[in-house]
Amino acid sequence: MEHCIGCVMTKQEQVKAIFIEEAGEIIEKLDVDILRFEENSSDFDLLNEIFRGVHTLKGNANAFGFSRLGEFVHHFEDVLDHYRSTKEDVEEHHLELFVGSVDIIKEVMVCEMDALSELPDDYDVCLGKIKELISTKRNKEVIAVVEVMMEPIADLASEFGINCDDEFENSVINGIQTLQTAQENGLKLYRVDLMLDTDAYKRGFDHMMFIALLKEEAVSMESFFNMETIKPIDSFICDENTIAKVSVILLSSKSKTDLEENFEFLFENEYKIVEIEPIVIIKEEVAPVIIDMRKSEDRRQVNRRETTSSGENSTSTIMSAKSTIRIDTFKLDELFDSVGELVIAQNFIAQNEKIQAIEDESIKRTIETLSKITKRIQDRVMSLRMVAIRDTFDKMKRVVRDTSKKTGKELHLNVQGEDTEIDKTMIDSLSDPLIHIIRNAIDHGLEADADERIAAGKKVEGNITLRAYHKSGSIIISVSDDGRGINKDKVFRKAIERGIITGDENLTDSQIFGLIMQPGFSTADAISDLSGRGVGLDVVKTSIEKLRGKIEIESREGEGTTFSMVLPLTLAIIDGMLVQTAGEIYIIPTLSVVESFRPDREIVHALKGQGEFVSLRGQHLPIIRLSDVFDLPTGRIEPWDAILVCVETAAGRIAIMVDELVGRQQVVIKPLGKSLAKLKEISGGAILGSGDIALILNIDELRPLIETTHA
Amino acid sequence: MEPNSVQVRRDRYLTFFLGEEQYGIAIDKIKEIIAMMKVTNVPKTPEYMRGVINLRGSIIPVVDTRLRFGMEEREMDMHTAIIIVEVEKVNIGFIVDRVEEVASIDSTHMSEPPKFGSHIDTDFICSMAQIEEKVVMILDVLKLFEADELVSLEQIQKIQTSEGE
Repeated sequence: MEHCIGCVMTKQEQVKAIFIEEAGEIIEKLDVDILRFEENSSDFDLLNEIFRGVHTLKGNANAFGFSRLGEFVHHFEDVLDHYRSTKEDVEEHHLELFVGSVDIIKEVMVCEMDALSELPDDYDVCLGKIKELISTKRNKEVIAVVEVMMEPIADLASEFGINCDDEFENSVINGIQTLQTAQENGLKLYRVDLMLDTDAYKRGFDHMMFIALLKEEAVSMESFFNMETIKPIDSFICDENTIAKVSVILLSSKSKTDLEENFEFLFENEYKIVEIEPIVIIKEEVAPVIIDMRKSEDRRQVNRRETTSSGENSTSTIMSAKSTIRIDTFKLDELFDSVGELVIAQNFIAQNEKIQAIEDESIKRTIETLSKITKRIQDRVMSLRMVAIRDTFDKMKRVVRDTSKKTGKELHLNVQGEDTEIDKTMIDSLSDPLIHIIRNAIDHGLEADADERIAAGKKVEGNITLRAYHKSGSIIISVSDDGRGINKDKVFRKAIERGIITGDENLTDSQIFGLIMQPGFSTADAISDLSGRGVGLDVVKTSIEKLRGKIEIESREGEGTTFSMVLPLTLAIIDGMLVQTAGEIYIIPTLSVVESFRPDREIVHALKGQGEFVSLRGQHLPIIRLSDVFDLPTGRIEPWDAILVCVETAAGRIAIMVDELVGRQQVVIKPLGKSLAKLKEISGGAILGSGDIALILNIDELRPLIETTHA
Repeated sequence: MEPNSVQVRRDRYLTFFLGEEQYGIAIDKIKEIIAMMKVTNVPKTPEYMRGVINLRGSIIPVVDTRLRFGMEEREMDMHTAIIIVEVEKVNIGFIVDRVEEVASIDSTHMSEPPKFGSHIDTDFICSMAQIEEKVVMILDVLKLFEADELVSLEQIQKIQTSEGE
């Protein structure tokens, strides 16, 4: 798709871009579905879903002369159709072929998009296998299928009085039958034929446009493209319509005249709308009679059942498609910003003393209503950015499968909380870290081979659990394995060896585990293809920190390890603790705050040359004076007259000394702009209800990572 | 014909005063002019970086132009204004003593800046313009900012991560 960006696109190119985008989506979905199917190959609905995807993809591919993709998909479709119509169980080794086929489709799509002449290596092999599979399957029941399939269709078609002598018409009539079975009271069935002239694109029309218009009217719809007149890619003229005929079958509550309105700018010979009378609906009583005549009872039953279910499904897909709309995330961000401003303005009114002083019931009520509405708008807009994490998790299934194949480790993936919603912008940056952690869990977390697992008294099959859930204002995404766990001593020794720590530090378990995410750290004895180079986890850590999240590691040796990514609900809002020092207000992210207190004089110690420390339950926390860090002009205050806010940083706990606590509130994070971005100690700004700006502290930078080593 | 077509070019500049000197900024760079408002100090920044303001919900850094030019600090008064300028898609506020007018200046009235060697850094000045009796120094806002080491930290980080991989 990317090669289209940057150049001015003609209408045809735009259509092509839409096709390609759609094809991309279908392939992505196929990828996920095929894996789900692999897990549960008896899921008939899913097979249908896959079939429909492949079917649409075929149409798309052929429409744009992607003949190689088209051919492959065509045969793949045949195979799927076979299983779909016979309801035969898919054999295990054929499942593998299915998954492989989807891979090929992915690769061929890339080749087609870049107009590469060579095809993926496996293309022919895989296509050969598919063809072979079809022919073996077909031979078995060639008699049954051919006879039964063709006859009733021809016969029913003649009942409509429609001349059907080609494949295209057959499929259209099939479509009519499908929708007829799904037809409900009050809905009319139409057949719309589009025969756009060759110059239609230049006049600003295209088939997709009309299909989209019809979609708005339809409850359920199916379209058929007659591709016979399509020219091969080398003689293809992109602004000329070579699609001879497109037939759309739709169920709609609208009248024929209403539908005609959509085509008012077309010439009369370019479209035809026919209302199909519902008299030919095959009623339960009638069905056996027809079937009797065809001597193929079972076959028809299967067909009927199948058409019904797919009919229902397509109804629901179109219904749901109707209720969604794609929006540029940029627009959403703009909306979000504006709402932020609205909230601030509303706060200003609500908190303004002069307005509060007005003794007027109606004004008070109006302000209250305004607050409520503003809050509601804010919530709604926020929810727009939230999407279920399902898609990301689905992608991970693929990762797990591939990694499992590569490492030769048998494992089972458990997924929990797929419906957990998470900020869209965050989801995009979450995939890579997640992939990394999962690979790490399989490659390092799980025992090297089955024997080791059996020796440890575990099942051969390893378990990987992917989980998403909410916990006290954060979203937690965790990856757990039931492998060997982290060897604490080994990590500790390695860290000293690598000079990451000196060994004198008083480190907690989680801090020791945290060391494995330091740059240049790897305990893997051998570097594998997948992980172990030590460039992995520190990148993961950085990217999660960029999302203002953190990683927590829990591990029990011999029992397994859990990596938890603790993420804020959204990128734009954090829960902040407002503190004041030297007359300025700063915000500390509540996520990192452990506790805040006014220390007793006895527990504060000053060490010469090393600064001040506070002893807290046996731990010595360095005191960081905010006023010193920022060179703020202020009189010397002793810690026992001030407040210490104890925070968890990447390098351990520190106590930030501030004059006083102001409060706690949700704040919208605003960037300070390029020019101030180099300020490491500050991660952004937030506008308070008063309209004043408070700076948000980046507590990890208030002290160098681990001071003792800077090699 | 050539000289004539050059003569037709008239660009518009917003002019303002810093002390006795008059400066101009090309009008297409200017987003708006606002009255002086509360500036929140940002620690650990150069002195001329006065801090940030809340402009209808956006946080915008504000530069004290006097300090940037090495001039003396001055009490704010009712004429003090903040000119919001867009520099490379980022809004930045410049505090000036007094906004004067929007002037159309013929390109023929423009000349190369002389080398001052005084307290004014000539790098920021892209040309000198003659409006009637007065001389206006036209500022290059981009240079005013590029001159500083204001490279986005994000960019640096990007380079580092791509190298690390």
